[in-house]
Amino acid sequence: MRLLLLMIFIFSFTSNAVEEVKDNDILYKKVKPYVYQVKTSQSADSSKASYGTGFVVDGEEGLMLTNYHVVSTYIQDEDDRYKIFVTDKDEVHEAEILDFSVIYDLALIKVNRKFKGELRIREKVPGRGETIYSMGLPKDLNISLVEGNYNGVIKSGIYERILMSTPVNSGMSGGPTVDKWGRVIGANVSILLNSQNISFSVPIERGKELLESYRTRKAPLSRKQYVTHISKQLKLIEKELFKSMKENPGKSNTIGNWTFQAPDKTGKCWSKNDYSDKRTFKYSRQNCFLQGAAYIDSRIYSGSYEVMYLAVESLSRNRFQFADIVDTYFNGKDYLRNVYTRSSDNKELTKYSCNEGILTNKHKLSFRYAYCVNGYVKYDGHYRMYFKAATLGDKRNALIVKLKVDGFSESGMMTFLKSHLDEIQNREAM
Amino acid sequence: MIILRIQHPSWNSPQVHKVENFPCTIGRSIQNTIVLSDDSISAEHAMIEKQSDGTFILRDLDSTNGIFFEGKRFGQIILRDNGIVKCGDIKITTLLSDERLEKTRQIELPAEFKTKSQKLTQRILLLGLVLILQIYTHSYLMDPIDSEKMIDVLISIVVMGGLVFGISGLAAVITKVQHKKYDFLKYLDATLMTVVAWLFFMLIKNRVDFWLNSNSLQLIFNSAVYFCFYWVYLNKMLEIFFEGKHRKRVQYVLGGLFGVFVIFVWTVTTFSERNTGFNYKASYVYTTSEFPREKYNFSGLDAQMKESFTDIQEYRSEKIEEKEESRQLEDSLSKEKPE
Repeated sequence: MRLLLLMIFIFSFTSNAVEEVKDNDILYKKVKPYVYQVKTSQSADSSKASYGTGFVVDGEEGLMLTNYHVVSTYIQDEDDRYKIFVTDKDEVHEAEILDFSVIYDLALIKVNRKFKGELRIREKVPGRGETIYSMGLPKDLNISLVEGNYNGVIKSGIYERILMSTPVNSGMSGGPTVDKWGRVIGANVSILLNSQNISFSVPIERGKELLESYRTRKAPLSRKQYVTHISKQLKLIEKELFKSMKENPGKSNTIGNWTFQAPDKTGKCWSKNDYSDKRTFKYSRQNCFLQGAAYIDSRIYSGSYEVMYLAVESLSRNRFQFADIVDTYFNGKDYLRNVYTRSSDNKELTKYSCNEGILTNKHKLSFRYAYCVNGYVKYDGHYRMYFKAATLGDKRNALIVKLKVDGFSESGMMTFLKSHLDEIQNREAM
Repeated sequence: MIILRIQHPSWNSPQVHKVENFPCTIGRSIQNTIVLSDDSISAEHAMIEKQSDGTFILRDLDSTNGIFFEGKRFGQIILRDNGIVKCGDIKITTLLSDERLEKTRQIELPAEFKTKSQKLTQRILLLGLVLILQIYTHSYLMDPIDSEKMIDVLISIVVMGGLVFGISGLAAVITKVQHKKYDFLKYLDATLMTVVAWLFFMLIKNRVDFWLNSNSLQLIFNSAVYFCFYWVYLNKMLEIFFEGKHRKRVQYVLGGLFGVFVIFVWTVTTFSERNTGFNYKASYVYTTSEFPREKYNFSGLDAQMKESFTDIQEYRSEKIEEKEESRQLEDSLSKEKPE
């Protein structure tokens, strides 16, 4: 009884500090004046090239936060054909980019008008399960408020996202994620495809950092600085990913007869073991990947990696039949998640340079390998690589390794490859 | 009086006919004096007439496949002693001299030639062989066979056979070399021969691919195998379209050219595929030798990667140039980007 009383007391105390919004329509009215549509188009009334939502973080100066991917069309367009507009039902205002982060998918923009106040930022981390709301213009319709729950922050390498259960739709990107008192806790950013209402939001601290760095610098980024700005961030991502791999080394895993090391504890690994239809062979597969990648433009994601190990063991196949299966797995459809964009029709990526060979790792395991690597046209010194290798233990066992690395430097690529290939061992040979 | 020694390609021994009354007609129809029931013979194919000067003439009766002497088609042929004329597929040796006639005695032999149904049985057996071979190849090299795979195999045989048959038939229609249903079984022969040859070669090729570890040896072997396969196919096709001496000449010329072409194409496709597509057969993974760490460490990969990175720098500048060009072009057109 006493406990109950105490709880009520705490609640009434907190509601004294910040006015708790009793009903959602009041919350809607409270947040709506600070939420606007952000679009990129060639002129104020021409059709949109991309759109999303933004929210006011500094009413006096006219500063708004939105997602980087909402305004990336503008940032990536070197010909300066696009402009950014912040639209209300009645008014359209042009906006300029002050700063952005591809790591956290945030952009700080300035509008040439004043707003009455701004959204308050929540300092305290919300509790898990707390009701939160996302606001934005889904599919270019009306400003909508959707309800969900806060499920903690997911960290993977440098990437950080709030996990929500809010039904966010495209167009709501960049809109605020608020608590029930109307204070911002994040900016809607993405959803998990093929899921039921699994959505993500960028923690607002990252937005605050962006705001502070602008306030200390006082000057907006110029168009010339964009490429170096992104390049710098890609380097930071790589550095942080390696740091994370060193600090949180993945545990040693075993599939079939093979042992290897997963790249990073903070990453996710999926595995699958199964027999073939007629039980002529069995296979076990493990995919390890980073939860997050830096969106750069609609055709490029960067700053990410993925590793796949596949062990195949023959049960009743002869050498030819077994070779056929290994062949299929090696050359056939692979199970890496990220879309491997074709570079031939992608203006942002160079042609591939491919090669193959044989190497022996420190455990005296010989691999036959093949790789293809290409680079970003704009961002010098950052590459993408697709590497695959195969080795055979005896006549009945094979291991296939596939690695996909995005946005690493030359030395980073080599370090990554070495650290993974060197850890592979055959248990029988040990 | 003359004697005709009639020889069909599928008969084991010729049949001998004594002709005493002229004119003597030859054809498929039962009203003829000599009835030859073969697809290459028209209903009323030819006629032998005795001239007033005592010579004999073979006259074509507007037959589809004509009469031939020494490989050339004629409207009429003056028959010689021990001369060979051809009606369709059937060879007829004519014996005129009286001396010979006296020595020649007609011996009635049982006609040992294969009937149509026998031919069909032969082909069905051949088809069965193809099927067994295909199943064996497939199950030995790829997957243990089950009912589903069996259907795949059957379909692939039908499709493969149908393709060769269809193409040959179409070529025949276009070139008008063979008319109507004339010996259509030859196409079937060609088809079956091709499929059998192909299967055998695949079987051998895969086996060798598997065990040979050197690229150059593989290349030589594979080229030889592919060449043999196409050679068999080519020969079979030529048999259909050319006769006698012409065939030999065409064979040598085409065969030579084709062989060179096949090796060239095969080499180019195989090597370019392996370099850009970075796919290789799992059998290449099987190594027959050891790879010592001292020689095959990461420095090899390191060097390759460095090369690749310099390549990419080149590609990058190419791409930037391209971009610049297209931008200039766009500027000059000053076109608005469609939304």
